[in-house]
Amino acid sequence: MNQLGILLKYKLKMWSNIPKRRGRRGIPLFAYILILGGVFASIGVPAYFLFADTFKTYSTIVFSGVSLADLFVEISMIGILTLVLVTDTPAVALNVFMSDDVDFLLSLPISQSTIFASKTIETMLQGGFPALFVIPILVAYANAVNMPWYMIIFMFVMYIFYFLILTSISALIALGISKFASRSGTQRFMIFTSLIVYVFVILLMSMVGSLNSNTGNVERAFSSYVNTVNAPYLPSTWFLEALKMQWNGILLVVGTSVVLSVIAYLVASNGILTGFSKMISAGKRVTYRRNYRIRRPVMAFISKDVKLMRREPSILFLLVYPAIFPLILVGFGALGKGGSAVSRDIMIPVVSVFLSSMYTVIATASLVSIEIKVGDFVNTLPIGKRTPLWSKAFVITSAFALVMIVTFSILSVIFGNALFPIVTVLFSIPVLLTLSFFGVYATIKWPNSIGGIRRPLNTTGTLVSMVMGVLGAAFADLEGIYVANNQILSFLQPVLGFLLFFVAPILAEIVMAVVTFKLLAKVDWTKPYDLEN
Amino acid sequence: MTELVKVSNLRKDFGKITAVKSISFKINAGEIYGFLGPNGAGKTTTMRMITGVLVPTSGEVEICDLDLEKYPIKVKAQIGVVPDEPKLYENMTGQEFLEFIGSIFSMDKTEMTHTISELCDAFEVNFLDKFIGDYSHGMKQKLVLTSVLMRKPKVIFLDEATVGLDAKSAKILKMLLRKYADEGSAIFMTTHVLEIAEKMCDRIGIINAGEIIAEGTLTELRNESGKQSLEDIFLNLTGSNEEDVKEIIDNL
Repeated sequence: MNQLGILLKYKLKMWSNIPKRRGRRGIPLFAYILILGGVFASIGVPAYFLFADTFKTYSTIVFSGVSLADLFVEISMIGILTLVLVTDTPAVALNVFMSDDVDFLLSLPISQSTIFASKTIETMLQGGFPALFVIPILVAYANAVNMPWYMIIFMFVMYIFYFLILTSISALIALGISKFASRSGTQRFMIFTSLIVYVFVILLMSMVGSLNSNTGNVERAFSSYVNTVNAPYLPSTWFLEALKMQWNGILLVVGTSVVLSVIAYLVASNGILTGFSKMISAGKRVTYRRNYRIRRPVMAFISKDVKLMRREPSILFLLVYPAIFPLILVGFGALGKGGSAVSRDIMIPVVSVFLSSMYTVIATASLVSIEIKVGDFVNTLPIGKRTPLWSKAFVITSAFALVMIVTFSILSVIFGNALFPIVTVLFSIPVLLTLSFFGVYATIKWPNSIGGIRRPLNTTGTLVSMVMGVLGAAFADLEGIYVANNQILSFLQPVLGFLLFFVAPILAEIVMAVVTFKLLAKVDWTKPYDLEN
Repeated sequence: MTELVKVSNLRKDFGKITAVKSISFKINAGEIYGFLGPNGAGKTTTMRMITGVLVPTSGEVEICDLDLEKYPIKVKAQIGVVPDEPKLYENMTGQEFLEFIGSIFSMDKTEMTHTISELCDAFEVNFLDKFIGDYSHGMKQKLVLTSVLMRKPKVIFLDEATVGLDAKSAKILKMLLRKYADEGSAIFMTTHVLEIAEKMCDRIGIINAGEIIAEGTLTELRNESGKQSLEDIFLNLTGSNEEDVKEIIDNL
């Protein structure tokens, strides 16, 4: 077997060994492929039927020689382009130029180009999975335009060339990043890329939503989007032209793909050593600030946890998500136009509280896992064992409460109704505090020793955390509805409404808090993996 | 002589495995105590127990006349620990880390700034503004050393502290530890570099299979074993000798 084959074979072996490290039986590789195939089929098959009907209708609506079905395909291609460039580029930079094993691989008699190829393929295998979800769209499109079987094969060959264009651009940008960025800087950059992708997906959903509303809308929206989406310099336009057997499209897709792949392979594979060396070194010399600030020990912990929280992309993403999700919904009118004022005023805070509650558990678990990663260090400090926990619970609760306050303030300015959001935030704070402590317990009880900070809990832990988050959010929302919007409870007797929507949730919250603290008292948060073993 | 560290009948079981079998030793003020042993002998487990990181199965640890089990926080305020593998907060800068440690130990700001400046000059630390995640092993080691030495703790525990340090920094560390010991600190260090132990340590304890098999000054160990170099003494006590090693080499 050649060297590239050996490197990829052992990478696959390492992936299939992951369950063994968790103390479970090893899962054969084909089982993973079956699971992934199942996931793909469960999403891909319904998506095919959804798009097949839509495309049949939209293939008849044509504007400037481009049908609405063509436009959908182009939008999907732009989506994949954005996804690969924005998310895979930092992933390639981290995985190719900063992966722990590159240091070791470079010491072996293996060429840089082989290492580069194996690491890029490895990254694309992990990051390229979403690209598969374009397949049902393409098949639905082929069905709608009555494409013969050989053209379907041709379409997928073109799609492979298209994906190579994206991969090559991604690799070249990653090489550029490796020449000036540091490891921590690239990791932090990933949070922004995730957000961009998220906003882009919402934007696409909104675009598709507006096209779906009614025929009048479709034509108006179509005419405004067609010139933007069908721009001649976009690879997605070349792809569409290639599908229509236009030679310029085929030549541009194949030619650009081949040229960029060769350039990327030659340039990036020869630059892996210098890129790697640059990223792991400290960079330019700087003089340190001589102004130190001494705080009280507890405040020092809080300050440290705030810094770690805002610098950890995965936690920051959890924090930003409940804020931007309702704002984007409002911005694109998904709730503003469709629902009544009451449902809009209630639904947006409710959604935000549900997201905040679920993410509070995970965010706390992530912050605790940073502390666990540091190992024995905290235990050597002259502080109480619970100080780090209170600090984390305080920081996470405050952060999520602050996010909700800011989000709801903006929404109140837009819609004018501030009472329900304010009351709901107030009722949420004790719930969030309890949930953040539950997050600590979850990290100990259901740790994911190889998941790192991004996936601190195993599957059971994640599910239990979600259930707890949903319950906590339900309690806070019920109390908020009773205090601020009890007119919608007019169908209930006043006493029953008071008991069901106010007393019962408060009692349940107290029970949840007592149980959480009792559970937490039984475990040593500094030794999560002892329990796992 | 003031005994700053007193360890009595310390034992640690991990399930059915006994990692440390009832060991006892003392370290006086002004003394550098070298703790040697082959891999897996129980050095790190012992150090984790006497620094309050690992709860012993039985036995007692007293540091600065304080029972570690009863007064863990008071004890930890008196000690400094340099682990063999520095694991630190990757998303903090070196400066923020020192500020955090200074706050936890309630240090005087002026004194801390002055000491940090001196230690940074000594260890050539010029990367405090960088994130710790971008540090090499040696840089992390220098940061941990700075964070411990800036406090001048009464008792310093070092686990393979010179690993990862350049020759100059290692030399400065050795001289600084001697100076701190001469000023009244007690220093407990583990090392695999027997030359360091030979040159630096006032007393040496050798642990093997969880038991202290020899303890004393270098002269005492020499007299007891009849060997001159610490390497020969160590190999002899831990069940190997020159001939065994030579046979292994010949067979390879």
